[in-house]
Amino acid sequence: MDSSGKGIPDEQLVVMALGGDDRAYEELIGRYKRTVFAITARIAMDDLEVDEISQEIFVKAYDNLKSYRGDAPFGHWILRIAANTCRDILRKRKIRPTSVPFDKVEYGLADNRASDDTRDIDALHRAIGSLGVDDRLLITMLELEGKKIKEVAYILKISEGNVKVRAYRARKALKELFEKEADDE
Amino acid sequence: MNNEKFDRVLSELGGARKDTSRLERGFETRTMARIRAYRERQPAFFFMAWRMAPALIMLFIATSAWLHVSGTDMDIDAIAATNAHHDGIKLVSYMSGE
Repeated sequence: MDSSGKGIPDEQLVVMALGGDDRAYEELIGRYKRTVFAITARIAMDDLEVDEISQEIFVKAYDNLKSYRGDAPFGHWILRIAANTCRDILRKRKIRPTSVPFDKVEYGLADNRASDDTRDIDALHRAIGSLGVDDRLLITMLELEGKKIKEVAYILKISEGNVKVRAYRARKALKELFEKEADDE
Repeated sequence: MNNEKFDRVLSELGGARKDTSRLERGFETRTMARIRAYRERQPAFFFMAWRMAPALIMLFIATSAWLHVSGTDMDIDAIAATNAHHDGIKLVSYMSGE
């Protein structure tokens, strides 16, 4: 592969990576690292964990590259691996990060934002942390990352109808948790 | 609480993205190094399995040969014992007129 590899389609890069071209896979990592970071940053406790989980996702993807058949965009396929990895991590995690403070600086919120708003976001953040693993992933993909129902159905390996039903229930549960968290403050 | 407030806060949280630019720097290099380390571990396992193959084949042949030799004798003994037992029953039946 040439030094840039920018114009090469994902599917071709996969074939090249399977043939032993490390630079092809490096190019794929470069293209999708932000997509993966967007999800892992919502799950991880800190930067170190974001890096660790994201690396793990790309190693798993490399290990399973042969199973990528090109029936969906590579970005969706890697997100499916990301969702599975995050699900495993959340299930293994003994203590859910319900008390993780919402870092207004890291998330780029304006400092002059009214403190009520910050408290509300903090409460919602904790409410999301209290959701079940599957609901949390669903809310993260659908509501926070703005993925389409079709994409989420592929990523979570469930039907589109199931996504809609589960999303409705998860949203309802989240709203109740949020109200409880907001009232406690 | 009204839905409007919940929707607004949810939308705000969705729009607030964590700045990962610091993590992005050198991420490909770090991940590729991990993949290479992973790949190096894999051949070690296959190499060991390959090295063990002759010993396993020899063990399989030896076990098969032993079973073949000892298994045939055992079969003959078992058939003889069964026949002898039946002969005894037949003789008793004959002698007793049953």
